[in-house]
Amino acid sequence: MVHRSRSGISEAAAAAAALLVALAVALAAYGIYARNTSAAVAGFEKESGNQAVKISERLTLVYWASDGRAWIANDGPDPVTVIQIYVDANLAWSGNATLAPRQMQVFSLPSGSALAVKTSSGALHVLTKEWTR
Amino acid sequence: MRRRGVSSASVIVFALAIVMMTTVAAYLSVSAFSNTFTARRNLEELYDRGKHEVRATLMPGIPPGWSPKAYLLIHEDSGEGDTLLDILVDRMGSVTSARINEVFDAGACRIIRLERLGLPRSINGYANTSIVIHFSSGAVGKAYQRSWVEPDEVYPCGRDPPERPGVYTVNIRVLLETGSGRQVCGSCSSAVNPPPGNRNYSPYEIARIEAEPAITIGNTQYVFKHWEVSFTGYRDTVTYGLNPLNLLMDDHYFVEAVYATP
Repeated sequence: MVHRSRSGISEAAAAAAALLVALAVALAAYGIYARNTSAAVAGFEKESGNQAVKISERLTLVYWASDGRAWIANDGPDPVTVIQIYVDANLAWSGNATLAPRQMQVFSLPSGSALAVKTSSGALHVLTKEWTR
Repeated sequence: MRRRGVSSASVIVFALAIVMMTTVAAYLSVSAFSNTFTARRNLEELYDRGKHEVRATLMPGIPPGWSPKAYLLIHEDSGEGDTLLDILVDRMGSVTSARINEVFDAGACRIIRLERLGLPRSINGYANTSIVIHFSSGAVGKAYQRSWVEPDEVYPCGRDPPERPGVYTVNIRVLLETGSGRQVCGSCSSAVNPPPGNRNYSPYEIARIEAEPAITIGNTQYVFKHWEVSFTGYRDTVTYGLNPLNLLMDDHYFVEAVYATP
């Protein structure tokens, strides 16, 4: 004997329809998940690449004199091109200064308490006064 | 008997719940992995920088010897090994930098004669001065002047050779300080040992010069006040209250034992 609901559809048919709907939802969810995952992985790989660039770029604030001159050294293995320097969150210098590995360069800046250097790779290095530690 | 079936709504809800939980779990795991990876790399970089610790000491002479000459004692404390790249000296706004390029083995220390780098040779030249050293690891250290360093701290350290070979001469004399000024004592041969005059020493030999605590000239008693040491031919004097004075012979020196009335 076939059990029917009040609307007249058999329970087996209702269950089959429900399963089809669930399958469709699952497929849609999987599609969204796969797309998001691939986007997340791509973003993650990009971020990893950025981190790798940031890590290979190793800038050191060797000294920051009271008149504002800052001695910045490239202690990484690759050349680094400095494009902007911020002092206390204000743009204080912009240009193109490429520092070879182990090279130190003097930048004329205003005096301040915090210094951030942006490089051509897009990395932003916040440099601290290491000698005051 | 009629069996109660599973309603279609509950199946849909169940399926949706499974899908949502799977999606959330996957998202959380990817995001956690990404954050952990980034944090670990950043921590590694910080650790790598932090483990390179350097220490710099500005000192007059090389213990146990004293001299007016300025030396920089540098310790590489991390046990990693590093290369000293730069020394920067800020003398009241006038900054001089010198490129060194000297490899430090793990835990090594070195005594640098600052005069060798074209910097002032006298310790007096470093008043109100900041000295910063920079290593290839990114380690940066500020030098602090210490009037005395335990010889054990410098004994194992490599040091710059003397400025030149041969002998160094110390010229000793006795000064009497009175209310009317100073005068050289010509009859004070027994006041200091070795007696007043010129003495030759090998480079980096320590000349032990001792003064009598008190002397009587005529009817006046004088007590030993201090030593005044200067590079021969220059009047840039460094004062020492020590008696005896262990003078490091790293240059030609002019030494005056100053006596004053009590």
